[in-house]
Amino acid sequence: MPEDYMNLAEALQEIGLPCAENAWNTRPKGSYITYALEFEADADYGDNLKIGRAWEGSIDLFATSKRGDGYPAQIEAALNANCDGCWRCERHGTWEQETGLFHFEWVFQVEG
Amino acid sequence: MAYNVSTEGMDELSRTLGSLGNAAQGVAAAALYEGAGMMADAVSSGIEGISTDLFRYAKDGQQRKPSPEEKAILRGAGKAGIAKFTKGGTSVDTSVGFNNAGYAAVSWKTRKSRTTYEMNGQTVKPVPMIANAINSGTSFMQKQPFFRKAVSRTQAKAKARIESEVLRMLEDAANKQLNG
Repeated sequence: MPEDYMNLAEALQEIGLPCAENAWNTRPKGSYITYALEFEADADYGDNLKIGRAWEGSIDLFATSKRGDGYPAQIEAALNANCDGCWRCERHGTWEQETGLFHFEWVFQVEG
Repeated sequence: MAYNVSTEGMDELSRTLGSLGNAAQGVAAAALYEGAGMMADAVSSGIEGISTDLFRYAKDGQQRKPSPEEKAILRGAGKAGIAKFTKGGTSVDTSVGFNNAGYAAVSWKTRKSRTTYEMNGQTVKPVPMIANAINSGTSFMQKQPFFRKAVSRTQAKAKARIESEVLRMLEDAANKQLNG
């Protein structure tokens, strides 16, 4: 597992949000976060060997308020500290009518 | 759901293209078509890789996977492929995806919402909304980033393909001028 991602995961845990580890089974009540390293986005090759690769992952925040209960700034601080600027905000407060939650999503890449 | 892929660092090529006059847009469009085709193929492969489960209503904080019906809707919409090319002053644009895919009928009943409509007695949902829910996930839909994965993995290859196509066509044009 890439070291930058492990550091990012620790920084996200320090924010203190409930984390939906088995997000497909149940979701916590109130605001919560999910994050995952999803796939290898790109790779460098040399001498017939893979010498470097970029992993892509995402962080999803489901918040009870439009401003994300103040969590987006903390998440972006964690991304700045651990992802060398390789991240983007994919969605910012998309409202889910069925659940009343606001969906925020960040996509990041880490070297590993 | 929109991802922009643009080619940069082609100043020299741009100048050469400019010298071609009206033929430049044709060259750029033909090259762009090759790159967009690669992207469309990658998205189609991504759709095939979506994991599905029989449809069930997500209750009590549960999440669900996309149903086979939703996957089939995306597969059908994906055939639309590449959108019409828009030619501006010095640029040629297109898009790959579901922006113009419209609505699709679904067999399950959902409560009336801002995204679900009745049309000719059938429940219909916007195809971009289905694609978005699967690609980015929701609090009740498992996330499977098929579109983002296709773009991330293919954009470098698509850019290289566009550049090589432009070079090839410029060489052809130069040879014609020399021989003609």
